[in-house]
Amino acid sequence: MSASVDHFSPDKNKLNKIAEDILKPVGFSKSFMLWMGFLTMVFLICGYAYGIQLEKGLIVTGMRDFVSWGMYIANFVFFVAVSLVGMLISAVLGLIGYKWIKPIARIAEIVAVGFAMVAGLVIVVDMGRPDRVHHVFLYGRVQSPILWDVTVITTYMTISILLYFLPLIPDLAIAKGRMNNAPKWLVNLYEILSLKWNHSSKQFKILMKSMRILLILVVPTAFGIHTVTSWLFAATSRSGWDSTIFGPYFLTGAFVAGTAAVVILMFFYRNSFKLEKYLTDDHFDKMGKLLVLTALVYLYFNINEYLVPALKMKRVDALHLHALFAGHHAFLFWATQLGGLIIPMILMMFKPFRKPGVLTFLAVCVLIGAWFKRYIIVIPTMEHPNLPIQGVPEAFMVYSPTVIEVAVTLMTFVMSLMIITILSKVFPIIPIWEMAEEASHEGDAEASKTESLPAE
Amino acid sequence: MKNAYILAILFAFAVLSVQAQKSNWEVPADKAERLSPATFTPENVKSGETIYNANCVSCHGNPGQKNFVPLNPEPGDPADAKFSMNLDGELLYKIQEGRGAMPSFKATLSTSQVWDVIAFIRTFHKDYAQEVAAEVIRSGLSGGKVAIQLVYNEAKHTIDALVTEVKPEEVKAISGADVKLFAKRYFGEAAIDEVKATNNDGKVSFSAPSDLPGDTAGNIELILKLVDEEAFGEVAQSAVLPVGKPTITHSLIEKRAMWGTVQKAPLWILFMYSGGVLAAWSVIFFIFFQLRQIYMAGKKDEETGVVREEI
Ligand code: HEC
Repeated sequence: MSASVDHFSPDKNKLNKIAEDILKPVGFSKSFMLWMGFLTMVFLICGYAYGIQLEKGLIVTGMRDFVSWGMYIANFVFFVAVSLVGMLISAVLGLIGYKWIKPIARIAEIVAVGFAMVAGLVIVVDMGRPDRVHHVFLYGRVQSPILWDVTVITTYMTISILLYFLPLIPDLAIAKGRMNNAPKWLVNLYEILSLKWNHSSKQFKILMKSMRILLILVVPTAFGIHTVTSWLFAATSRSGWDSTIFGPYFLTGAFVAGTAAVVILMFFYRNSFKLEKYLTDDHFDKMGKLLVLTALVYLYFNINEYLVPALKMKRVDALHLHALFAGHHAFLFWATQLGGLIIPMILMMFKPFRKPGVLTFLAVCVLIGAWFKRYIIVIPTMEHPNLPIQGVPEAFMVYSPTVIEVAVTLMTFVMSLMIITILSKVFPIIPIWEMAEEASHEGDAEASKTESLPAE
Repeated sequence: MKNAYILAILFAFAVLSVQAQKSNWEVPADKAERLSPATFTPENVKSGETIYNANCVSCHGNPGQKNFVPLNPEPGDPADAKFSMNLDGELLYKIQEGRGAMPSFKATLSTSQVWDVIAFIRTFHKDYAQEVAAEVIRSGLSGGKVAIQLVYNEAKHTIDALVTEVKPEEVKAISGADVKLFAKRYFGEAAIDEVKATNNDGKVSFSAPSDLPGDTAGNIELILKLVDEEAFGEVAQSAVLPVGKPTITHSLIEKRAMWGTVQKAPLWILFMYSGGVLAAWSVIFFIFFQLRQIYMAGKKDEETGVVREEI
């Protein structure tokens, strides 16, 4: 987001060309219908599984007395984590003044909106009595991280929607005159949402100011959302969670997962929406580097998180660490650490591995690894309470998710994908006005220099 | 509980191992010959089982299963010869007195309770046939019943007792009888002062402890027992007297605390939370207001007919 525009006068021809490229994929094509149909089908099947859970209760899951947080909570942490990338790209990189993020920023916000909106539902899915969800507010205690979590997720979601919507307003104004063969309701929608935008410098000024405020506000909110999520664990004294670095550990892990998700979406848009000109090899290269950076920081926290307790091997920790390093969860642990973090990270340090296709493959590995990493953080600790488990059925001691649990988890992913799909087909995926502005200044060294100065 | 017991025992055992080495447990002849005053009934066995499970299982395990705790000397399984070889009086003596890691149950269980446990243990001994004491000697009494009165003398801070024998026609002071005073605690009874003998008027006075915690009013249940059970039978009288220090506990949720309800939340956290929410959401609402401003600006341009260059 360039924060210095108060006057919009792009090169007409370039704007036309850009608008044409970016608006082409907008609208409900056949393949969109097919894809949404497929998603709806999966959603219904998984929704049926959730129906069974609603009727019979959480007994249909693998969760029992000791492991009372299972796949759902791991999945919740994953959703919150992925959504944080909106803040990383738009706010952290944007406020620093990096210009290459311009075509990517909206994709990052779509990811943020899609995942933050569903994150709240993932928690509801974990409730035995979802009909009492309002009790969280009625009887919530301000002392409890759970209430902070609910609050901060709602706040972050709202800010993310605004961060998505605000830069979209000028685009909607540009687009509404050019959508000749779009359905009428879409044109009407654009008309309403563009808020009578006429590119006046007054409107630009308000927009820029609002964006800047939001970009600043989203930083503490995003830090808050994932730090508080980590406190749900770290505020208890159980081995594996009883850690002072859980906040930054979760936060950096979130950036890894989110960056990977954005890379995957970029690749998809680039190919399906024919946007090679806007999402260039160079963008993938830069995102690859960003992924290496976030992965390095995350690796550093991982080393601290596992090596320090491993050096001390306190009695309860020893049980837990043994299960991770060499026991029941060893395969998953090493697969996520090596295959989902270290190996992709090392590969991405080399330029050929930051080419779009290869990078996307590595990002998929990282994203899958990130999901299982949350599983590794939540479940093994639950299996090792401070007092030994005695005299209970085998199923109570070791957690394994049931088919219903997997299906319901899948449902949450489908919901996110639906939101992302709809947003990317109803609205332009790349900021037209910013690209046009950029293009207009190309070759005009003088102007681009003043442009790149930080906001006044 | 079991674990704590075992730890305590292991420690005690380390200290006492040398003296506990001697495995012959001699019981004085007169004690060994003591017999139960009554035939064991199924009720005795039943109550004995309950007492056994509460007090003995942690070391001796379940009779017949040989799952006693491995100590040296072994506690042994009550179903085994180690136990069955004992006379009734020997069992009574060993349980009441204890040795090494075997605790003394004198203060915890009454004699008749110990007889109940013995009745229970005997059900595991095949060749056992009970012998009952011919008659209980009640030389201390002349046909009447023992009556005990307990009062608290606040001025002297003593607990005074009057021990009498009540017969239909007269009430006679019991003099020269040893008595012992206990205070009822959560676990067992705590002896207060020392064993004292009644005077010629049947009176005896114990100095009351000054720091014993009582209930909220300082009440404590006291029990006076006659020591010589042979002479008087099992006599005990309890009374609730205000001899203790009142215990006033404060509810942990009385004041504002992290673990309280939201109405009792600490103020700082209330301020932090609502301050944070207020700050973030007022900014968000400000942004909504800005969006309105954008709309109003566009509308105004439209109305005043300002035509912008078509983009
Ligand atoms: C703290 C552990 C512990 C508890 C509790 C305990 N015992 Fe013992 N008991 C022992 C040990 C140890 C010995 C062996 C002592 C020795 O030989 O020095 C023993 C010995 C005995 C003996 C003597 C066996 C023999 O050598 O003839 C009897 C009888 C006995 N226990 C009965 C009981 C009864 C009845 C209870 C419950 C009211 C009880 N014990 C509770 C540890 C325990």
